[in-house]
Amino acid sequence: MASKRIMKELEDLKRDPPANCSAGPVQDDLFHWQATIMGPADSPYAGARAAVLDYPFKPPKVAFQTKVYHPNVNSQGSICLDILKDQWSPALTISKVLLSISSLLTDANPDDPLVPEIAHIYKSDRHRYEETAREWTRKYAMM
Amino acid sequence: MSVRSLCMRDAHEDEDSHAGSGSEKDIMSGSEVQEEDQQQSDDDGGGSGSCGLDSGDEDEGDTGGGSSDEGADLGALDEGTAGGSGSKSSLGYRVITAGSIKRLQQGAIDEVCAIWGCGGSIAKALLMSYMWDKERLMSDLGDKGQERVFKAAGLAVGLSAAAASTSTAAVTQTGGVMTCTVCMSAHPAAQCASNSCGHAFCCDCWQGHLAVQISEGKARHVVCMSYKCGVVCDEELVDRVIQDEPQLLAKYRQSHLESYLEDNPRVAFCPSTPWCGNAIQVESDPYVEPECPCGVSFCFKCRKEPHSPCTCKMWEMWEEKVSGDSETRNWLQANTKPCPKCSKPVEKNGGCNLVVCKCGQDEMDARMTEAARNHKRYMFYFERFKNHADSIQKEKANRAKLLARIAASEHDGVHARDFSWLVGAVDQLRTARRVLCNSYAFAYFFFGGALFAEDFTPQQNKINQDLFEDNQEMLAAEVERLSGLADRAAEGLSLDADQRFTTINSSTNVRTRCANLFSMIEADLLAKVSTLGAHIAVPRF
Repeated sequence: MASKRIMKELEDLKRDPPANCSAGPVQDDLFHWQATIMGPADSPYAGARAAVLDYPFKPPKVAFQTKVYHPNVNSQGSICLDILKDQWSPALTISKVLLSISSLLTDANPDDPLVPEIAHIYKSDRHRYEETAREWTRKYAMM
Repeated sequence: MSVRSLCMRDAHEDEDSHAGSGSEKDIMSGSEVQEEDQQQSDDDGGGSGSCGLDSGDEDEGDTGGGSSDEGADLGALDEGTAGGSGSKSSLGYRVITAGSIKRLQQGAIDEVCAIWGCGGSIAKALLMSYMWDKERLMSDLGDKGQERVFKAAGLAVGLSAAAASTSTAAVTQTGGVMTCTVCMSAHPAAQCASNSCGHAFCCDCWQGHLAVQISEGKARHVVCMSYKCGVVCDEELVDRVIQDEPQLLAKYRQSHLESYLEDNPRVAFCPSTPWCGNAIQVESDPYVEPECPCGVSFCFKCRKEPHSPCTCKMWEMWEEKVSGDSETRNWLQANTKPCPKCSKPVEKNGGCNLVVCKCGQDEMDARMTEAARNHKRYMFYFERFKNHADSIQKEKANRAKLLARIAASEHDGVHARDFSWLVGAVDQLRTARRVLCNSYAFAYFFFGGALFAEDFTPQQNKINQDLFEDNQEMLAAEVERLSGLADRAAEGLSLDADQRFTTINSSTNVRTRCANLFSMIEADLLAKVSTLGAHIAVPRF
């Protein structure tokens, strides 16, 4: 059942790709996906990996592979996003998850941070935050 | 001149008044409790003894089913007692066995159904969300309104337009095939099911969802698969979808059943180790010291051993004092001085003021300090406490022997009922002995401690103490008399009418004096204390 749904999602992604993401299985393993999410200024912001075991009844396990400077992403690449945890619903899709992550990258949620230091800078010195984020993207993502 | 040099001195032996209920546990290990005559029921009035609910004082029950399967245990025994589920137990608590959870839970659910006119599945979800607090649920339903309460409990409030259009009923009407948005495949309506919120998915997906949620321990709150819906899956749906997964369904039902125990602040598991399988439910007041049929009794409030007339706070302090080394430290501080040379504590226990340590150092003696006086006061109470605690242990062992001998005598043709007066007296003795024992801890804190120093003037305190000690002494005298009488009666197991009469008489006296002590404590002591938290359990005779 799971692989059937994943195939279906893959077809939908190919037919109607979301605006700022691309995604697909790693080699031919349907349960491990690789995705690229465009950042705010169309820059290749980050690459992520998703493992979809027990999918869709458990949320996909998504983590960034590239370092991301963001209040809701830690140094291991873990993402703090409600739909990847307790707000997951089997009716959500990978495409919707990617869209949510993409919008999280644009609009951080500093009030519920995974990295309080970054959240503090985000709130107190937005300019410095943007600078560092761009810097990290240049350094780690644009390869 | 005699001098001792010491490094450590035990101020007391280890206090262990709660071990060794093993023999009784063996007798009572069953999970079903037999209904028996309660020895007190005659005195309770009101006929509540006939409710058949398991109360604290049965002890001769034989082992029942012993299985912990839900439902299956709901045999003839529970059917028999079901009539009493609504009545109050005279002891302020009732025993819940593996077999009676379902009946009690159903009783609570039925009550909500009857008052609010909803289905059982809804009533259960509401009660689970309100931690089985029927009164709070009812008042919220009245004050906040059904919609808010239902929403908070994860129950559907009318069908939303979007949800209604996907419900299986809607699909059946419009052609009979629907695409499940989880597996993204088309299914005939017959293979789909909708939750009470109206969201419909195929049965296979529901099953997958339930399997994950139940195995992750969320059986009590499995919500709809639709994003941000949040409505709890209703039981009819669950029953239908996982009917061919008996293990999963059993786990789901067991979890719902146990919610009545685990989520209910009025229920506590019996603290026996290994666990006897029983739980205790209090009627309202948590200041109760229930006795589980397995023989273990405990304070419902703090889950420690019974400590009335001490409050939970007093008992905590007493335990710390008794078991901790604080008294050892106090004793050393009060009675010894560190040797100036080797710094070992040195006790002067007689002789002149010139003290010579083992190491050869001379030093001058200290006078008796405040700490020494406090320690002396503590030891006065502790010795009496310990004496009674030891007696409790002895009498406990005697009681087990007595029960065994009575059981054995049945074979000789003397019916066990003939000795109910003796067992009753022994039980009375045990309760009173425990009260007496704890009353010394109570006195230690109440008269002269810092705990209630602001509540009484020294003169008042003196009057209170005298009054208390009068009551205490009267109880102690009668307890010792009853102890002797019960010993003698148990020795011969005779049927002598005179012996029987004196024992019953003494037993009644003990009960009266115990009650007197408590009414004195309640009316003259605790009622006048402004400090909050001075609540105690009063044994009900």
